[in-house]
Amino acid sequence: MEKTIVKTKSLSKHYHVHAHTVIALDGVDFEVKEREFVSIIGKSGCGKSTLLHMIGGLDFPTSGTIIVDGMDLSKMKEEQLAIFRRRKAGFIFQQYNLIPDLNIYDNITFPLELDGAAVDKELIQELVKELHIADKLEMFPSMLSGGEQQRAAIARALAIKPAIILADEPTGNLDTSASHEVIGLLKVMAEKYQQTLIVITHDLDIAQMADRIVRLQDGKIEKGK
Amino acid sequence: MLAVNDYAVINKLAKNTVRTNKRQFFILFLTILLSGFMLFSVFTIGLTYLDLSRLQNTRLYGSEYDIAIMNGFTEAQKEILIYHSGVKSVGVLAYCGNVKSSDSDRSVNVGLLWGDKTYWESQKAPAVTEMNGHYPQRQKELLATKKALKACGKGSLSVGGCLSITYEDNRGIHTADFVISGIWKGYGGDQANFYVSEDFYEQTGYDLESSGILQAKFQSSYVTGKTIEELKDSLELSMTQVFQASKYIEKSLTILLAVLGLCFIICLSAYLLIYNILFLSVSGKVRYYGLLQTLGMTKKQLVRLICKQIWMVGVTGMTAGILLGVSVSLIVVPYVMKVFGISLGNTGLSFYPEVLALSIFVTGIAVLCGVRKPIHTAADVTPVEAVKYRENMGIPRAKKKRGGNLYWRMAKDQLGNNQKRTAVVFLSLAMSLMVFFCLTTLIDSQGRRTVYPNYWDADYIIHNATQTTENIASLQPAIDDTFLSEIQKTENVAEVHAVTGIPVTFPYEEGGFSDFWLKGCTEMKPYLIYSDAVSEYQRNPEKYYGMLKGIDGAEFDYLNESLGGIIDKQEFLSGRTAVLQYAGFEIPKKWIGSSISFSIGNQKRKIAIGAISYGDYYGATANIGANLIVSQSCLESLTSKPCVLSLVMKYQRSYDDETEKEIKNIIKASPYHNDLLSISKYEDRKTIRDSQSGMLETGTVISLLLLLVGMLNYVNTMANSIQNRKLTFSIMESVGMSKKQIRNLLIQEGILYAGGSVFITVTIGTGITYFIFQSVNYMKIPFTIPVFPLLCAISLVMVLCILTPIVTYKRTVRNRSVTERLREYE
Repeated sequence: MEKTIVKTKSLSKHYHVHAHTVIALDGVDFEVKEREFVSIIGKSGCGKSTLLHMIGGLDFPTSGTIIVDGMDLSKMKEEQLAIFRRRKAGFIFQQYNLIPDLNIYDNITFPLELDGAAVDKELIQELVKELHIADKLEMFPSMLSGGEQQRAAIARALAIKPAIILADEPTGNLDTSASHEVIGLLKVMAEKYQQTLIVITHDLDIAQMADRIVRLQDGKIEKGK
Repeated sequence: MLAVNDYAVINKLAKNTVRTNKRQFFILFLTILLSGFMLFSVFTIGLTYLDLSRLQNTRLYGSEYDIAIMNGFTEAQKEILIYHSGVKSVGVLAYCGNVKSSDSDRSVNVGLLWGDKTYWESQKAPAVTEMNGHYPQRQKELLATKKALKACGKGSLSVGGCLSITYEDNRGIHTADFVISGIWKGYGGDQANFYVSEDFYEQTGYDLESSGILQAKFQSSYVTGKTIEELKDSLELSMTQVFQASKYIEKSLTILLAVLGLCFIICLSAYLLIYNILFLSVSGKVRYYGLLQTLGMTKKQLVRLICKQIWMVGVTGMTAGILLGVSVSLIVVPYVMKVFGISLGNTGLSFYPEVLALSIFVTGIAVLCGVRKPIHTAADVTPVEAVKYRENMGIPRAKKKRGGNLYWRMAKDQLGNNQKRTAVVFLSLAMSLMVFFCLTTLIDSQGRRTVYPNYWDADYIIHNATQTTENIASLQPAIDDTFLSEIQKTENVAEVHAVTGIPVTFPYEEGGFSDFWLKGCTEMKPYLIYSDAVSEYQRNPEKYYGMLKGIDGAEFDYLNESLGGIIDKQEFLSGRTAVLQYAGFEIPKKWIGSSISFSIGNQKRKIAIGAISYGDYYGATANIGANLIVSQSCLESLTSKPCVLSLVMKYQRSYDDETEKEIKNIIKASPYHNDLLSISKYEDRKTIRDSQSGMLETGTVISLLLLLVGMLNYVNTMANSIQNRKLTFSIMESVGMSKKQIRNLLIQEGILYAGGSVFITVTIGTGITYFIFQSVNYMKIPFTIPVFPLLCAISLVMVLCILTPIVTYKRTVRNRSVTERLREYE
């Protein structure tokens, strides 16, 4: 039996916009097993990204709990969450979110350097080789294509050897062939390094590649498969 | 293409954009406001500073003039000056003799001067602060100062009062009664003089051609050396005439260039301030402008929209800035100065329309020039590029992997990524520090002008003035042992050096020193005939008496140093050598090494001359003859009862108010208080400070304003930079950078900015300051760096550089989560 790596209980998130309250998540109970590949689908604004960000420690819940790799994120302080992010969660965003002022190598090693950890150069070389960006290391993000930037973002996420990889519409800005290539690489890498992968996507083809699909609607989980 | 009426929609959009982006446009508004404020305030207060600086010179010199012709002048020369287009006024001043005694004091040393109407009403007026009565019109009228009256023992006399004086002019010695026609208060070295009428001057035997002084003031405050030279040449001066240009006017062009240089730097600061923020402000909205283009806005319309926004913010900012400048310069600063009792003399802070025009012009030009580049950037970017636009997204050069501390590396990268912006921030911060450095140095040097050089840099000097020129036996023990011990007992008086002395005569020796001296003396007094004077001298040598003065070892060291160390101390202390002192005319060096005979009562002595001194300190006694300065032990071996002639005091703490009061009380209690003359460093400083009339404070206000504006520029730029890097910080946080780590990064960035600016200031800034200082340094004040204010300013800049990014970041992030911040850009 695989161990549960992510577990949320009655997870809610409310945003206050002027006088209105927007309910992004409404009592979500959600579990992900170790090394599982889960895709989350749903309409825009249904709370997919909010859920992913909560799991990644980017946001605080309004109520409920989130346990990731045995740690209760809802009880953590900002500083602890930052440490959690750079040690346990590898993020991949739709906009790539590479740091424009750093070259690709520095971007990949950035979370490691923040942690004061020694850079595993062999792992980095292996990652960039497999992600086909070994010749782009000295370049800056603005010099790379969208697909290359997303591959660099994957390398950054994997370089820290995270327990869980969280990808928020990683193919949203890529064409079909690049999208399949990126997801394929992501899946291969996650399997290779025995990592859990949670992907948000609108693309059903991509969603089908996952072990399980979770559908969110109006801040609630509709169906788990 | 057909023209469309899109003004309404562009105006509406411009207003809405400004309204919804209040924070960003407020920074721009604040920048333009600060520039307008800085330009108006600094120039308004700066002009007042220049006026005060000139007023200070006028007061120190006693009258307002740029050139003077001394030792007489001809009527033709006066006319040349009067008709010279560059000359504003030509005044005449003449020496008319000196008062030797009054009905209340038998030993007086007060001069008699005559000045013509132009001199008194135009050139002297700025140095006169109070005038009761009028300038003498009749022959036996005197215009006095309280000091001159006091010197005559008539300190309580008022306008209309009578005074009987004995005075010497070119026709001899006379005694007459005078009426005080006026009493004036003010500045200048002519306080111990009486002004007399033209009628009086005409009967003194002096004539303007041989002893008059012609003073001229130029129309302009800035004159070239060539103009002065040409004027001098046109006057065809004789060998005996002395042409003297004031030190200020000689350097006036360099001063003007230095002032213009400072003005340029100030304008450049304002320009950089506006340019920098405008660029950041417009480039920060390129995405928005791209969106507008996507929706069909033409480049022309976009340019109009940006111009409209800038125009709205610019005009409001400029108006507010100038209004603030007017309030600060013309209301707040004068009020604060008044509250602190700082007088601006008769030069108040006034409104200069040209300063207003310049402020508007420079701010307007800076806005116009500053908006061009960002407009091009915004208009040239395609809608698709605009969506992905980030400031400074040009193609960077590939960079190799580097080691070292992550934060330093990133901070350095941040500075290197936008070199232009970094340069502007460095430059504006360094420039304000440099201007502060430069102005503080100049102001500090003015502050150091608070010391009139007196003998031996003493804190207090007391002279025994009981002596009269005519009577060798007139010297009284005004400074006796009791008086001396009271002075020595005064707390804070660290050193007391006494000059003791006794009158001596120099027996007449044909071809000897006495003969040489008598010849020189009769040349100076036209009413004396040499042959008669020799007979008189032989009959009554005591009428031409001199003084034998004794000094202690410490005073000898000082005197010898001032003479170039030519005297052997042992020779001097043992009484084998003396220093010959006489200030009346030049004594040739040939007398050094020769022996001079002198008599004390019936004792005849000879002493070798080791050196000759022309300093007038030892000539402060009333004897007509020369002085021989010997060691005190030598003097005591010749006489058992030497009299104390003067006391030189040095305090433990200079400028001590309490010590001054105590010494003055001791003098007041003395029966000889009328004959004890004082020179006080404390009083001298007070006089100069009065003459400076808030000049130092005005200058300080300017430098602080400039420093403040420079720092606000940094705050603005940094605030904008952090605002534009919000996304980068959010990304960093999303991959695990903690707020503490971001703070460290920002601190290091701040340190780099501060360090760079301080480095520029202490290297290039010192060079520029030294150059400007020497350009305007017509008073030959030594260059000294004002360490304390500079260190304070540097510390302030350091703290500000470090705190600004942190505070701005905190304000930008507020309590929003990383997700919320990242979503802003999705």
